[in-house]
Amino acid sequence: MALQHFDEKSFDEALAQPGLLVADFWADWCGPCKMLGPVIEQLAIDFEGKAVVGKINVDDEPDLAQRYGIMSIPTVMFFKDGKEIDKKIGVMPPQEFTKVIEANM
Amino acid sequence: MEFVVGRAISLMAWDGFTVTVGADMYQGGALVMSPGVVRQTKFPGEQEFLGKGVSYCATCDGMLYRGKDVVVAGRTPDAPEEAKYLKSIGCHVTYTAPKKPDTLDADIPFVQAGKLEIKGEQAVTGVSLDGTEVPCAGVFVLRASLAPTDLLPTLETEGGYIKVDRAMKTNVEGVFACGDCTGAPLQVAKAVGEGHIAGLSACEYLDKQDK
Repeated sequence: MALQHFDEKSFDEALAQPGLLVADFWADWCGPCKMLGPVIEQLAIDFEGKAVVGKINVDDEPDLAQRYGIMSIPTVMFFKDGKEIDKKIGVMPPQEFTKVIEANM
Repeated sequence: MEFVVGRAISLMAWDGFTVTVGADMYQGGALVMSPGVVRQTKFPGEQEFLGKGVSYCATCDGMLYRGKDVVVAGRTPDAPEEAKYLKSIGCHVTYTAPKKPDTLDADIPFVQAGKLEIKGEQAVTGVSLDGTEVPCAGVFVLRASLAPTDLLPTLETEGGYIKVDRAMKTNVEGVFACGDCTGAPLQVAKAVGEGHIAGLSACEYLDKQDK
């Protein structure tokens, strides 16, 4: 399965499932988002079966960006059993993301 | 060898180093930082609302404020250009600075102010410019340079300068620093010598990686 590309429908479906969900809000005019891309892809591979990892393009899905008050990208949000548990704004090394996933597995 | 002129907006230390300059990305195996010294303190509310209405990069975050009121705190000669960009994508821009820049677009409202305070609750709701309240959804703080620790939060500093050893190594592997940013004396002779050493150290580091 690895990295998913969510739209509102597929995101809400994933959110309704139990377990960990990681969502990376990005856009293609955002340089730092592109820099973070490979990190998020690696997370999807490393945590295959343990967490659902996906990307949300804020231009394609403005309602989702609005729903979570996304004011700066990249923003990576973490959900457990449908509830928001963490939010990381800006570019960060992978350890910052794996820390959150591992603490909540 | 590539020589690029631009402002580094963000840095990622993973699998070497990747730097974003505008919408472009550049990768390298080692990093030498010589940003000099810029005397700047953050505005009240700036750190608190970073990512929640406060941004350092108009091209990165501008699109998220289309149709909204934004304030540009211009503290660098190219800030008026960035204000113009924001206006062109549909933001309602107000520009503020201690002095009105000549290059500011005539139809961008200007508020002269030396003091700026950023206000909000969960996110930015407005700014106070020398006491005058201006409501807005976003504040773009455009300074000449980003503090090295904003680019690389794990970088160790001492007394406001980047901490290095005699080989110009910082605490972060593969990262070196030189010149004014490592401390006094803030003089060319010292900067040149340190630059030389930092370059050699960076090369030595890369050679070790290749083995």
